[in-house]
Amino acid sequence: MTYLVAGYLVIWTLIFGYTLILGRRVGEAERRIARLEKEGKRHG
Amino acid sequence: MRGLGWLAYLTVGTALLLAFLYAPPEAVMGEMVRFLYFHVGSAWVAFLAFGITALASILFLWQRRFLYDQWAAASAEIGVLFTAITLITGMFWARAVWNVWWRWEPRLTTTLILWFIFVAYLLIRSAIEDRQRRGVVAAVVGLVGFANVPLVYLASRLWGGFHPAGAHLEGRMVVALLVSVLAFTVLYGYLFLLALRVRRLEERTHHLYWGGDSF
Amino acid sequence: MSPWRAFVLFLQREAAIQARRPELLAHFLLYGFLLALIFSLAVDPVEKDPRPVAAGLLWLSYIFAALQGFDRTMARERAGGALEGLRILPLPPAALYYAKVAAGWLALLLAQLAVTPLFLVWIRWGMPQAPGLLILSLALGSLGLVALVVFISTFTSGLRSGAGLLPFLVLPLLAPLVMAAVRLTGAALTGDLGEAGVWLKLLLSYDIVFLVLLGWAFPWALEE
Repeated sequence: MTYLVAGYLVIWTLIFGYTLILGRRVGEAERRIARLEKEGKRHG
Repeated sequence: MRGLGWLAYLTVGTALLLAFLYAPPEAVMGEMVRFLYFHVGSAWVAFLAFGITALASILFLWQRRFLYDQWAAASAEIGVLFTAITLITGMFWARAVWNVWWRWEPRLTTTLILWFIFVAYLLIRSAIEDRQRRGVVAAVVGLVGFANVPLVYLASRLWGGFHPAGAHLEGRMVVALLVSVLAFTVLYGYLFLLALRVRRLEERTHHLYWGGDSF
Repeated sequence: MSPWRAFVLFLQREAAIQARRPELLAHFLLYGFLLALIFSLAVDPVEKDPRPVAAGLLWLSYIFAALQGFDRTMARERAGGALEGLRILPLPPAALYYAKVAAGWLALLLAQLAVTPLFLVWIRWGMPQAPGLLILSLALGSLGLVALVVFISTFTSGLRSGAGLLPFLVLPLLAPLVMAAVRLTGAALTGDLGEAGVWLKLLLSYDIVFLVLLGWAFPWALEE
């Protein structure tokens, strides 16, 4: 039973962790897009 | 998109409840059979994800549209995650039932090699800046890696096999298994769209910052 | 120009380069000797019996020698712009691939001819039980090894941040070859030929699959 609980903890940490990382990357990209669109293009 | 996210976690929650409360213990493995539902679910998603990567790689080499390259990249990332989950659940199960953490057994060996190939795939993607070249290189690596799998399987089968080919499942177990597989598929769909969205947004920031389309 | 003629031309080019400066052979020899030495010391031949792992250590030496040798030579060809020049020639890229594989294979076989006997002496093995099969296993294993490493090093040499990526890409793809080649070489060393036929077939199929597939995909490896 210990293995069962430990195993499930590991897999859910991985899945939630990955979802959180993706979510953070989305948020970060959206913030940067908003800022860049306000400031205009820096290059080119 | 957000709706799909809620749906994914709802079905996964249901699958979790079914696996732990509804399905009975199995005759030989006892409680450890509860690993099976998510082990099979994540293994299915891993192979689905790598299959989509291979398909998208072929489409990219053929048509050179970057949408396919993004599909391949997003799917490979999820495939690596779910292969890791398959291996980890398998190892815990093996420790409990076989009393060892690992056996050099065809399916285990093949899955592990597959995991390494796609980790290398992600590494090489992150090493190339030119997106044209990155797409081509990644697609070829993905396809060669895919072609390698039957050989790995064949080789390791000659070393001897232990993996259970099937378990004797009764009605409630079948229900729990089907729901888990469904839940993981929905979860894959959600993560795939999310990973794709990350790539599109990051490409857009790059585009805004540098101008041009050299992402 | 026929593909065969192109292959012969490319092979002559490889031969001319290696005759002027036998970089591949030097790397294979030196790396092979050094690793054979370190592995012999690492398994402590006096105290314990290293024979069960001899075939594995021998193949590890050759795998790392191949990685090191091709990493260097390909980087040089790429940096000098030679690969770019070869790429735009109106000749089939597969001919270039097979010429590079043939030249590398020959160099690795020559190196093995020198390193293998010395390694067997160092780990106090003596004569292999089936010398013919030993040579066959080394030749077939090296062919698949070189076929893969030539292809992947052509890739990674073109990447600015690709240094060090070669082993990550090669080693997982090499897994079936390692299993088959080590078992076959082991069988040749001990003379226990019970399973040799199966491993020989597997090694052959690996060689054929990878030579055909990688020859076909080589234009993409060359692409800038």
